[in-house]
Amino acid sequence: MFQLGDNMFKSKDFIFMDVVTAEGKKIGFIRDLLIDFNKGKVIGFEVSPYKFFRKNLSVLKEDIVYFNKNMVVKKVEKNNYLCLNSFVNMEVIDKCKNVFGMVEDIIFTYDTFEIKGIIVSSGFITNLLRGKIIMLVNELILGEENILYIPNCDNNFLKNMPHNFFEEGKANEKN
Amino acid sequence: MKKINKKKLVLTIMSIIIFVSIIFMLIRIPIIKQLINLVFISFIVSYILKPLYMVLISKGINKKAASSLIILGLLGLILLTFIVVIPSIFKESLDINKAISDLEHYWADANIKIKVLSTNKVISNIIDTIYHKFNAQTLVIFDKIFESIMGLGENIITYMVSPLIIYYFLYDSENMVNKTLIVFPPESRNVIKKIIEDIDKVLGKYIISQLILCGIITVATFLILMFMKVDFPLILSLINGIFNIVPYFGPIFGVVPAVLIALLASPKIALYTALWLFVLQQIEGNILSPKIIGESISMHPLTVIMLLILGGKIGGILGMILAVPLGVVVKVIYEDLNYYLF
Repeated sequence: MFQLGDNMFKSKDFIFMDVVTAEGKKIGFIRDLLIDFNKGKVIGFEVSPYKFFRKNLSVLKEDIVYFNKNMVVKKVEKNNYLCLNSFVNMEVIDKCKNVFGMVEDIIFTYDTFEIKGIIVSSGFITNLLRGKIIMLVNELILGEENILYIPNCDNNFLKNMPHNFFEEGKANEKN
Repeated sequence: MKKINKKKLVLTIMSIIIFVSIIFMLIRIPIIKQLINLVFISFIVSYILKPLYMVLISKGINKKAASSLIILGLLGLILLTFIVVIPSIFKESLDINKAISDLEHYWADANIKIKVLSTNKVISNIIDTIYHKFNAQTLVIFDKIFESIMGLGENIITYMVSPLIIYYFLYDSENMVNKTLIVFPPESRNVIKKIIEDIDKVLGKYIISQLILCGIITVATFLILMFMKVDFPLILSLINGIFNIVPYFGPIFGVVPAVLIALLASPKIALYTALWLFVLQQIEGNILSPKIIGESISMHPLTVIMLLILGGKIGGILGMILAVPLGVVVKVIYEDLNYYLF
């Protein structure tokens, strides 16, 4: 059992983060993640600018200088990429049209931004009882309306079980 | 292990029930109710003023000076409203008498025209009912306004304290948050702090954007009404600006009085006013609002409408204004629990 947060990120760790240039000028805040589904990587962030009548900007990973509470970037660009929100709430199905649930979030590593897993939620109560499913990105194919799940081997799913979040520190100590 | 957990669970539930019932009993006591009201209002005002405070702090002014500056500004603003705005509103509302008598003339005129119709018993009945209902409704509204003003006057000394409370909320908020967290067990404070931070982030964005929008709408309405030479531009634009906080329903409530007053001048002016205000609402709703409010409340429109109806039923106009921010808070809490639980 390992704890999220120390070496992995979810999208919520970045949403609403302020984006600042190296000179200290505020550009906007992060609205979405940009994703390369084939390589299984987060390639950057979509930024909603504070100025009026401006289109959304993109920040690529290699232009990020540093991030903690704010993100300092070298430059922004205007190209469009695939966003996380475009496939959040898509259904994950397999070849026999069995539905596993909806895409809720992704888990990615803190240094290489490699997507380690895709969290699939099956509804609030079922989540509490059975936990959320975590699928590997190389077993999934992104379609127009659904995401197709093709298992590589007969492994069981990884699960994300509810835990007592009040005792994060203690849980770490015990393990 | 599991047995202990069960015992713990029962204990927690019991203590929560006792806590809630004590709070309910306390709310029943009028003095405490007043106190809670006071603190709540001060909290909201200080929350609205907080961005300004942060700007001052970032300019390098120390905490005490910044909060006192803001309080002085607030007092100045209140004085200014008493000196400038209220007399002008009074002046305008003296003219309202004229407008009402105009309306009566209008009514009488219409009555004569309708007289032909009122030979029909059903229609005359309907007209009568509408007239009486309308009268009764206006009376009730005026009564309510009068009563709330009287209530405010009664408690004016209590409310005089509120700038002081706002001062401390601004100057000492971090300390206060830490102190209030004592209610919760220590191991949960980290998560609760994070949740409060998230709520603050989203709600702060929402409030700032709403204030900006309100200001823009008020000024634009004022200009339109001045340009169209409609009477009482100040009151009407203020009404429109305030109602604009309520999404979907607000613009309609805000525009109707302006159009009605314009109708007194001439139907043509009313039409043009309605048209311009409609254009303004469209610009606001389709270009400014999504841009300014942005994704800070990524809620489905249907949810927002449901919340508004619920808020309107529970707390009237105030309920409608508060419904969306409260909904946002609940949503953030749900999302955070969903995040930290797994």
